[in-house]
Amino acid sequence: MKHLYICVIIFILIITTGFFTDKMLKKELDILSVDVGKVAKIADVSQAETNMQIIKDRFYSKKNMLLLYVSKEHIRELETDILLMEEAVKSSDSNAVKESSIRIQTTASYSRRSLTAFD
Amino acid sequence: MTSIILRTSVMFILVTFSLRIMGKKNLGEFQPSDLVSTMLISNLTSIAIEAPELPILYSIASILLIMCFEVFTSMAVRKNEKIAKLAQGSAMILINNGIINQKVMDDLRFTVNDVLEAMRSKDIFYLEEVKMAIVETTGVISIYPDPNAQTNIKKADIPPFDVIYDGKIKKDNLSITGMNEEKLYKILEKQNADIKRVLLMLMDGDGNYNITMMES
Repeated sequence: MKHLYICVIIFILIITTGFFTDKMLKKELDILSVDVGKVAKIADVSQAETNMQIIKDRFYSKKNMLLLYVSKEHIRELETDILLMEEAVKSSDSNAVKESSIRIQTTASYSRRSLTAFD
Repeated sequence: MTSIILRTSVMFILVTFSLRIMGKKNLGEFQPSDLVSTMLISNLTSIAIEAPELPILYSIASILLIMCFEVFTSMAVRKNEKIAKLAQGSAMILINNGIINQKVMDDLRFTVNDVLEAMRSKDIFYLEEVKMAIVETTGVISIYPDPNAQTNIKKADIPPFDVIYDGKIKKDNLSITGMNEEKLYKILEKQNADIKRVLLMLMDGDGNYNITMMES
């Protein structure tokens, strides 16, 4: 019976932590997608440096947590694209900003899907 | 390299813990669910070690979930006979009073050779010696020898071999028993048995035989 109790506790722990972490990660990925989308829509991208810094800081503050649950390949792609986007913002290259933004949104969408999708 | 060492160590501790929780029976005899759990756990372990790109938590959570399902299943099996039957199947009588139950044999996809091998492993060579043979849920065949037959059967120097199996003569076995095809056909004629309908014919060195006809 002791083993059953251990398993019940582990099962409940896995299910609840899985549920909450999924929710939290999805929220983080959504915020990232929305934020980069906003930056890409700003007409004068040189004015978006502050926004870009906020996105970068937020991403790096959550990176370790994301690494626990999301494929490292996705994280690496996100990181590269965020850095590329930052550089594009600095050099006021709006096309490159848009391109990076789309790539980030796509990767975030894939990561989001891999958390809950059954397929 | 440190990552691999850490991952392997974590997985070793986790799998040992999981198998310990699942119970020692996993090491000896496999029920279908035990086999599935063990297979999945071994695969997940290798994924965790070989694919550092994937978070180790994926494998850890999966292994722990499998462990939980295994324990829940075994608990349910213990408490409910219907679930036990669904999860593990039930023991089936394969030979009753020396007669092979061909329906059970077909259902379990056993061959006559499997039956004969199981008999020989228990030092039983004559079908008549078997009072009952039961296929356990683990797939093991348990044999209860007929206490009367064991003393009544006059055993030959050469034990019985299958001289006809599935309607075909096994010439090697036939020569071991010192018999030839001509004599064999005479016996079949005497017994009014069509060779194509013979599932199994066992014959020993003294010419004692046992014919099992195919069930239509």
